[in-house]
Amino acid sequence: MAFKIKEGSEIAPYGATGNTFTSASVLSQAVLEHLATRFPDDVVNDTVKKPAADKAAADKAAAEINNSKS
Amino acid sequence: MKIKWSGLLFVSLMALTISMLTSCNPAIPFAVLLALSFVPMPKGVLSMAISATVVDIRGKAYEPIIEELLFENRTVADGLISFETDVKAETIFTENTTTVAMQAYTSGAPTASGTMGLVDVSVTPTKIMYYDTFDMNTLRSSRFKRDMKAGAWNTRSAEFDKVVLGSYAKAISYDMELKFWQGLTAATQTAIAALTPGAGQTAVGAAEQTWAAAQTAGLVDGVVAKMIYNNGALGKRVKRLGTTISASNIDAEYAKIYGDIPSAVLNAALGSPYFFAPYSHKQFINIFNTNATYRDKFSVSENKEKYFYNGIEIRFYPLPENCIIAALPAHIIWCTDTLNDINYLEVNKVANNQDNQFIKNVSTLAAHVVNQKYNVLYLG
Repeated sequence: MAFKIKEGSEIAPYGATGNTFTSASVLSQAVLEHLATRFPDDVVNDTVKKPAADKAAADKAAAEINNSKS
Repeated sequence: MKIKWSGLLFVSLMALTISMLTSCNPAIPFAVLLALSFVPMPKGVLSMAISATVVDIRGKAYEPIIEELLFENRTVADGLISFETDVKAETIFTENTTTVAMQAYTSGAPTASGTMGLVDVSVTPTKIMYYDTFDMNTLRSSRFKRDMKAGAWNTRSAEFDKVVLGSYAKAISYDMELKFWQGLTAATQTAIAALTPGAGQTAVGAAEQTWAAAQTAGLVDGVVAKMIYNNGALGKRVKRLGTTISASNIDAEYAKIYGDIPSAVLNAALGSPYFFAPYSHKQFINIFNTNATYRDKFSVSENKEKYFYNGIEIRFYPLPENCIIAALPAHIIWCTDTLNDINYLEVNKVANNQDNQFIKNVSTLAAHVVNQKYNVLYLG
């Protein structure tokens, strides 16, 4: 899992006396994960998606298996 | 110093005038002491004008000036927490922890058991300064010219002194109070970020790391910082992971903190613990009570000055939002040395051949938290 602050979002978790976090803020994943619990609309879990080529190869392999069974 | 226009603040200035010392040395600095008392005054009451004279004031202690400033803020004015004014450099605070072990009687040589522990913590207040400069000549065409005396040399304005310099002193006082509660040094900020977070009491919380990351590093570690990390190690506070507090969930969140307070604290012979909360909670509590269906969960006095939760009073100070501390007030200590002879508020010329002036305050500050394992820190 890779949490990050959305582009354009500004988070002030401790009011005016604390700093505001943005997508440019350098924060640890533990901190981002905590911010996600408080600001679910501003912090997303940016999971890496598989490229389409991998899916195509997987579908082809599955089709071959089905053909061999039939 | 940028001159910003603002509304009048009603303060009274009590000016100390020191007789002029004549000297053949033209380089004697031009010094003025201001003792400021901040008593709200009714509209229309004029303050005393400040008269400035040449004086040599080195070596003299100016504690009344600093004490006036310190007691401007509620943390010190309330006198609730411990306020230690005799903290010199490297003052030792000693905490005693004792354990005993019952053992069977023996007529022979007994075996020692238990511990009598002593932990020393050295506290050295940080020496801090507030400094700014201003040029009264830039105000010659402003409202302040109304009380400037005739003559090209005369640019002093009593109204300026009362309003602007007075507000500067108030700002100093509030800023020191803010740093006392929320301050965080760069070293502590780095140390907290380097810890491995965890849910257990012996690990730093993700919320605590988030709070530290959200701070602009300064010169002093405040109470919150000292509870998270002090004496080179993770603090022994009772940790409670919080959330965003609002008028709807404030009761539930205070219930968690109340449940975390050690029984020894609730039943302490020394006195009762307090909730130390940010100012916004007063509004949340009032709104919560207004919306409550059957009864008020928070007890609030009729004049809205006293707030209680389950018999524990809530006091409002400049804490971070979504941060609450539950502790005996004796465990939170404001350390300073008001007897330091360089603690003074001075208004003076920048140089003898100039008309630019400066305003300067020098003092010392440290926050210290004792009996850490008995104090609850809630951070959202």
